[in-house]
Amino acid sequence: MPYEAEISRSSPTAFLFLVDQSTSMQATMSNGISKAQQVADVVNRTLYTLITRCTKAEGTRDYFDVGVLGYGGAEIRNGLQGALAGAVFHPISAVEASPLRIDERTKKMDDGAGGLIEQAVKFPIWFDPRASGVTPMCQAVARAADELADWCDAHPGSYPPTVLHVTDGESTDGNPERRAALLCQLETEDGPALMLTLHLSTAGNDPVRFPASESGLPDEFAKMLFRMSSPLPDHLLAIAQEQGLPVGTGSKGFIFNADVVEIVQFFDIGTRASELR
Amino acid sequence: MHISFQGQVPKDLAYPDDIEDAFARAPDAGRVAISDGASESYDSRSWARLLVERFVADTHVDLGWLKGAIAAYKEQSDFTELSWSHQEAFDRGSFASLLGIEHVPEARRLEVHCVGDSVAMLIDGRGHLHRKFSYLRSASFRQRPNLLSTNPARNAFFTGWRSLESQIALWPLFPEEPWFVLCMTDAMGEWALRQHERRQPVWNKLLALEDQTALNALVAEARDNRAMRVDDVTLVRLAFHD
Repeated sequence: MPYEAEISRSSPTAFLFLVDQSTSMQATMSNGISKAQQVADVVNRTLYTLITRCTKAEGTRDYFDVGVLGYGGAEIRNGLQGALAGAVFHPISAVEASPLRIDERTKKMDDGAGGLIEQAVKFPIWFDPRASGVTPMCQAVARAADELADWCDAHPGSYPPTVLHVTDGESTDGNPERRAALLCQLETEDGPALMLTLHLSTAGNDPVRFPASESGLPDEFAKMLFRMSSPLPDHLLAIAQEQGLPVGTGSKGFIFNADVVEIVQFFDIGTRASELR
Repeated sequence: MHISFQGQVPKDLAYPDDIEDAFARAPDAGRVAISDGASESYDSRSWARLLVERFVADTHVDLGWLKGAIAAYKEQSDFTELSWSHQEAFDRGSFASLLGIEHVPEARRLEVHCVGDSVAMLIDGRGHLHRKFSYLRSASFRQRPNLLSTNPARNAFFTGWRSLESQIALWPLFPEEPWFVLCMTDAMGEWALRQHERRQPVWNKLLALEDQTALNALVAEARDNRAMRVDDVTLVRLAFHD
């Protein structure tokens, strides 16, 4: 059965965030924040959560390799900068060690006596929002495939890599479906790579979450992104079901027109992989 | 009661010191405990060790007991000195099972307490399984277990052992004959129950284990056959006979 490889320091898995940074990402969402800012917040939060999952008293264990590719205008750029700018994939301990900066935020904590207290926490930033230029999605998917091919060659026994693709606009350099199909043919001994897609549409349509068919999607572009996405493996279906999402056999890793909560949920489900050990 | 065998095998043989299971005993008081620290935890090894040591010192496990254990855990770290990632992981919590056994000789009885997915099996001298607790079937190991946490918000399920029948079992030790109790963390427990369900019981194999080398070989073979999940393994065998 695919997607059963245990994830360990000697057999890590990989997550690649593929983020649309074209001009249209300047549009604001229902909470008044731009799509670009919202996606950057969630990418930073997801990196933070991944690091937390890997952090033990003695340090951060390299269960994951992580990368971020942004695309917009004429370039496909490494979304991780500073000390991480030299390569796309990095072990999670290197990501932990090299945020661009550390902001301070507050969060509510259980006080152990039935109440809540506010506590200042440090919130590291690795990925800043950006929104300019056209949408070279074909080039971006091809670059992601190149990175994944190298990673799969180096990790033949690992749980396959996962691409989390976030976009809101139409590709301006052609139809990326064939390239996405090639990407999803890359594999380890544990199965093919996964491509999960978050489509941040500005259309006023109702959200569509993890559909099994394209029939309910409103336009050809959404249908194309649906076809580019992988079916959810059984363990991700189980996690989505636990979270009360309407998934079933054949549900694909695709969300259309998600709100802020659903964006967070999408990243959470997409980065669960299998059990760490 | 005496402990006729105890052994552990790490999940990752490349990191033998990273085993996150713990075991404690107070044989004079007739008490033993094992705990399985969850991998996705900040410091489950310390938490598991603390739970078993506190159980063999005081078996009255209630909310006050748990609160004391959490306080002792938190005293081990200076939160303000931790890096941002350690602070967040510390807040997220450490998680562990707890299986505690208390022998009450005057009543010829065992009290078996359990939270989480560690299991105890009562075996007679001929290698027949008589009782199991708290999981009864191998399929139960596929569910996500409730574990004791250093994060109080994650302990809402726990109201104290004495108030939850699902967390305590009383096992009579009669008629008189040699009795054995096998205490196991989840990977071995799931394997042993599955073998039992397939009518290929492994109880005599486990009763015959003599040393750590034999346990290593048994676990390696089961892992190689993909019959046993790769995880830390702890096995403690208790023997009861006059």
